[in-house]
Amino acid sequence: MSDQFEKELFDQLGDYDSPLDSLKEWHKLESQLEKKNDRKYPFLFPFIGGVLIFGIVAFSLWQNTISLENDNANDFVTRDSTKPIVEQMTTKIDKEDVTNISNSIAKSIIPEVTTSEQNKTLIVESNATSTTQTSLDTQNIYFQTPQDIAKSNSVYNKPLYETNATNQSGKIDETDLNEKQNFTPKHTGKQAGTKSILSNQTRMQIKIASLDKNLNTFSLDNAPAFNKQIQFAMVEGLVDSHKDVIESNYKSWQIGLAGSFGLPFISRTTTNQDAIDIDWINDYEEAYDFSDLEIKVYKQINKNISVYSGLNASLTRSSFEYKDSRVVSDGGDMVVTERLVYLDGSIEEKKDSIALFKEINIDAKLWQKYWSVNVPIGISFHTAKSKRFYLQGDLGTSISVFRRHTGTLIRFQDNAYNQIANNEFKTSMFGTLRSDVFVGANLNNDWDLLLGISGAFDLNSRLNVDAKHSFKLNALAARLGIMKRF
Amino acid sequence: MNNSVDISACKRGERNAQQKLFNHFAPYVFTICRRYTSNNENAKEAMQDCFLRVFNKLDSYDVNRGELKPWIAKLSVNVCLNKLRSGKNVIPIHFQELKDKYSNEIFEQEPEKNNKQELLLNSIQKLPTGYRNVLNLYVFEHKKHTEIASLLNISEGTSRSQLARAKTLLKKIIEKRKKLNYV
Repeated sequence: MSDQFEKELFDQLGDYDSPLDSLKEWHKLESQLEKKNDRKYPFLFPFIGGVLIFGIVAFSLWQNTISLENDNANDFVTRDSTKPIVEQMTTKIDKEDVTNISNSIAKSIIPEVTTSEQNKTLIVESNATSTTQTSLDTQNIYFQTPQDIAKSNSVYNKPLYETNATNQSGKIDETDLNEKQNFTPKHTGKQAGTKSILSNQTRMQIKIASLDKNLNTFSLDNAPAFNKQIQFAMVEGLVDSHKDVIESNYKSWQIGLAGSFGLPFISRTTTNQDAIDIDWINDYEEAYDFSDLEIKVYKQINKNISVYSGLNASLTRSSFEYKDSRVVSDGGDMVVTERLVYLDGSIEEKKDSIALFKEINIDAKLWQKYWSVNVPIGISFHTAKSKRFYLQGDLGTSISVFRRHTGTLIRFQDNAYNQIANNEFKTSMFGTLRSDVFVGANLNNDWDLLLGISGAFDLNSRLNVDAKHSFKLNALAARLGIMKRF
Repeated sequence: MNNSVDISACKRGERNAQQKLFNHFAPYVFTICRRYTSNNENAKEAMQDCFLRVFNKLDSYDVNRGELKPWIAKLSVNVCLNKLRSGKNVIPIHFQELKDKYSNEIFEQEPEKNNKQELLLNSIQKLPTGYRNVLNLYVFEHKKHTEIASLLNISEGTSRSQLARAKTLLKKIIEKRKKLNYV
């Protein structure tokens, strides 16, 4: 400080405590602190999206073993009506239909069975996670030679269940069979050595008694002994073995049209590293709504994964409310602020206004619209689309190819907002991380209805103001659409 | 001073401790905000922002590196400056045009009589924003003109001339107030 006036100012105000109603101000601050805690939720969206996508992927993997708890468990095969197995599997299985079911199985296996299989044994492997009838999931049904059986039995150390046509009666004691099905596996994956994948499995060996390909039938010598549990296990196993074929024959291209409407969240940050510690503070910015319309083309690359691209048009509306009070000159009193004395004795005085007591109040709004056309690209995880309902999660990015950012300046005057000016702002190409999670419902063989949620997270700034400030518009929206297969 | 405020509890987000800290420093922070704003209502809003920032940044405060009061003062100055900047940056020229066209009634807040500090504060608030910022940074934050020029994105010469003008105008305002028997 160079003069007495500055020193006096500092002495008087440098450590001065202004009178203040601290309690009242604290209550205001406390409510804002609560709000600040609530503001965490936008950052939860990526997490929730990730969890949902993970859930879908996990569900897809789990779905490979079909739950018997669902009475409609066979629905996913209804699309391929040309295969006899499909028609047979869609009929509800009852305990009294043991023989019919065996014949069904036989018919479906027939094309794969040669005479050489007559000496082999049909193996049914299943996950026996519980002793209840409805919780058995079959993993596989296949034929094995006696040598293979010996090998695999060595892995299990002891067959959990075995029967074949060589027993005395040629029939299985049903009581004995049921008891053995309730057997809880003793051999864990670790004990089984290298075949840990077979942990918790039970296996059933059924020898084919006869095969008549001409009659398109064959019989399993222990067929009458099947109880409902094993029937399901076998049916499921057969369906499972056919599922890949069915899925592979399915239409693998889809085109979807979907619209979203939801809430945007404005994110302003700064990378300004000036001497002062800058934090972008903006109390008056408010986001109104986010909407988009999107066309996506999907190419299914396997039963659970597709890739997509397309075109997306989005609109985000927001406003910036500006309130301030400032002192301005009214051009009134002029005072000498600088005096120059020249060598010739002349004096020049520089004057400035001192009419500085006029306080103006500013209340204005800038209503903003941000349009963009984007090209999305990404990967889609879904459960089997052949089922009546399926879950799908799309994860990808989009790049903006067209943008328009406009603002209408509104001033509040005479109890009404009056339009002052229309503005167009410079935009910057931006990328967006998109995540859509939805339920698809098959309306018919060609059309699906989609309903879900959509999240959009900008990866870089949408504005081209300067290099320091970033303006991102994130959004969470409800999504509705249709999809056609071709 | 730090003895009377449990900083650790504030860092943990305990409301009672935060209230205690607020009560202790609010009048001082309010003074800073009044110096940087044109009226007390704006100053109160700025003060709220200052304390939000203080509580948000408290984790980064290291007791060993200095007293809490200057740390809070520095944060508060930054918040006030940023608040002024944000208005300029987000809405570029249009609000300036609006400001020039728009005029309302004269806002004169009567300072407390016989209180020199209040007279000075109220007079500083009447300065134009640019003058006020330069005066504050130079006199109260002890910044050099080069630093002020960098902070406010103005030239060093402008900083010097604005300080000179600010002081001249401030003296005039104070004289005028004195004539009106405010003090």
